[in-house]
Amino acid sequence: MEVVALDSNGEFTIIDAIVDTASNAPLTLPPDLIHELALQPVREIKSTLADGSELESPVYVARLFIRGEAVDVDVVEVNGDPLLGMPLMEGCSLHIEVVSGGDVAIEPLL
Amino acid sequence: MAGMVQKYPLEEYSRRGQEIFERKITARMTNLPDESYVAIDIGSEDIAIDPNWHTAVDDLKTRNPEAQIWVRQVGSRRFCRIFGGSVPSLPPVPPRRGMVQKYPQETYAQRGDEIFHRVIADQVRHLPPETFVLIDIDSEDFEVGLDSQAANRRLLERRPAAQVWGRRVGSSATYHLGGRLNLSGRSRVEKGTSTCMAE
Repeated sequence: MEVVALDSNGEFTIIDAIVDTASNAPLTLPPDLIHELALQPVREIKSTLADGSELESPVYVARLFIRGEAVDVDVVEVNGDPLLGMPLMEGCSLHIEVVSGGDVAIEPLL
Repeated sequence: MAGMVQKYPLEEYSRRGQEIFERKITARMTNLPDESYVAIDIGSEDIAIDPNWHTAVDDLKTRNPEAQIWVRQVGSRRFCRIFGGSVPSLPPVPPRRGMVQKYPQETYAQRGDEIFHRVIADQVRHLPPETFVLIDIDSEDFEVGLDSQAANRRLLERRPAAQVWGRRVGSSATYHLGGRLNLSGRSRVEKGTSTCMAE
């Protein structure tokens, strides 16, 4: 799923994120992408991972471009692929074609 | 990178950029290192390739100052970039001051949770468990709210040098990443000994 981030130069970065329906963090990004976007840490937090382990990490703020609006969201630093969590899909339907290469569509609910 | 005029809708950059990438790069240039960046002018289909994306973009701009540039890395679709100026209706991104960390990472959780249980827990017990609690572990000042950004801003306005630890009223974990989720409304996510609320 593509997520569009805006930086202070007015440039767009399009991030290919994996939908994680079990995440209540808006977005996770790996350290190299956080560096690319020049995000600044704003606080420390602890997250619980799927295996029950805990992760202490900084939280950053990114400005995303979502459905025509600029929205500031928490970004949690986690190694691996970017993950798109449930808060960014609030008010939307999520449609997944569960086949290899199938479409994933997030549409606003009317 | 500033000063360029965006000529196409945002989604057009991604669509055309990817199409040109697959036609000109994937199909023909299979020996490129995965780390290389490919900058494409989606108007003229001119291409510049370099290990540094700034260099690739500058090459294209030197050849055509009006270039409408889309960039991606050869071996990764995790992100790509578009250069072309901001959307006029959007407010500019404000400069953001980062937190300069004074302590080792584990200190924030230890001190933050100690302050939460000693000073804050009784005052916020009535609030929904998903409410964010932002604590300055130096002054023991705190802010609460369902909007973590707003609570963080309020705390920083009062304490510009705050060393901020975040949690929720009902959980020492702010976020739960992956795992088991009951999708009936505002469901509880439970994993091990930690419990937090799905949003």
